Amino acid sequence: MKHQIPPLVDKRVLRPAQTALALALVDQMDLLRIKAIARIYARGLPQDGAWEDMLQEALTRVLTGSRRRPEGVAMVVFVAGILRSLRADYWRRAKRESGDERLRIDHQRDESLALELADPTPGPERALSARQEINLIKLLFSDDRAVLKIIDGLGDGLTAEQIRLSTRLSKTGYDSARRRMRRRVLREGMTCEPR
Amino acid sequence: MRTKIKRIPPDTALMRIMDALAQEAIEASDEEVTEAAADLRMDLNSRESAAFAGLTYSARPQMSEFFSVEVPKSLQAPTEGIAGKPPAQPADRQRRSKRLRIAIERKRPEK
Repeated sequence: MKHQIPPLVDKRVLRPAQTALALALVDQMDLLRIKAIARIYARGLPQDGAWEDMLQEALTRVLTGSRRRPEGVAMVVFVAGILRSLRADYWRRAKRESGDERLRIDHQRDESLALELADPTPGPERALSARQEINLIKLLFSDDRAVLKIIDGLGDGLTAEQIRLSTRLSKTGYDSARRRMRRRVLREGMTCEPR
Repeated sequence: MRTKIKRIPPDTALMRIMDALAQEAIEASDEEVTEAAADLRMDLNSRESAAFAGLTYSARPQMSEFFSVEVPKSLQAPTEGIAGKPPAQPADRQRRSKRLRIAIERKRPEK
């Protein structure tokens, strides 16, 4: 007599993405955009395949109604917002669990008036991880100097006009660099390659 | 007066870059998505396309995809030792259930 290992994923149960598709909350193109966004926001998070969990969790929140879409907001934009907040939640939880990142402000005379606050600055581990992720993002565009300059400008918080002036790109040159950047983002977003 | 130097934490810079890249994905047209898929030779008309990995099917490999699902019984024997054998029915209960079965069979209406 032979035994079968039960599959670890029951294919009869619909995944949140499939449910969202079946309910016409999103179409296939939207799902691909959402996948690209999830892969962007999962950068720097420690688990392997975190993007997939984040994506399905975001869609679950939409389906269960724990996050409600305001009128007039496109579904992709709405899900992108949830993905962003899931990332922030992760770091908040990680910081709380580590417990040692607190700022203490002592009072000169009265010890009872001392304040203890959460340290808003990223810890060394998070700062290092962020730096590594920026380098990895730049590696994606390593053959395109114009895009690399745009990324530097975005990191510095410059506006499109400021980036264009600082990089001395013409409007056409800037727009075409942004298009190349978008295409690379979509291409990277459609794969499942580990980074 | 000296120029004020503003130091941007790498985390803030990364978040700004990620927001901008996410915005690019949001604004991408259907044609741009299709073209990007074509660059990767992905067929978006196919349900099994790699583009949908992580969406409509899991992107993470499943154990059953790599290993034969047919396993000889002998390989499963050790689990019995861990989980333990199912508890045997007490002897008097077995006798009772046998008596009950006989009684039910007797009560069956004749055809």
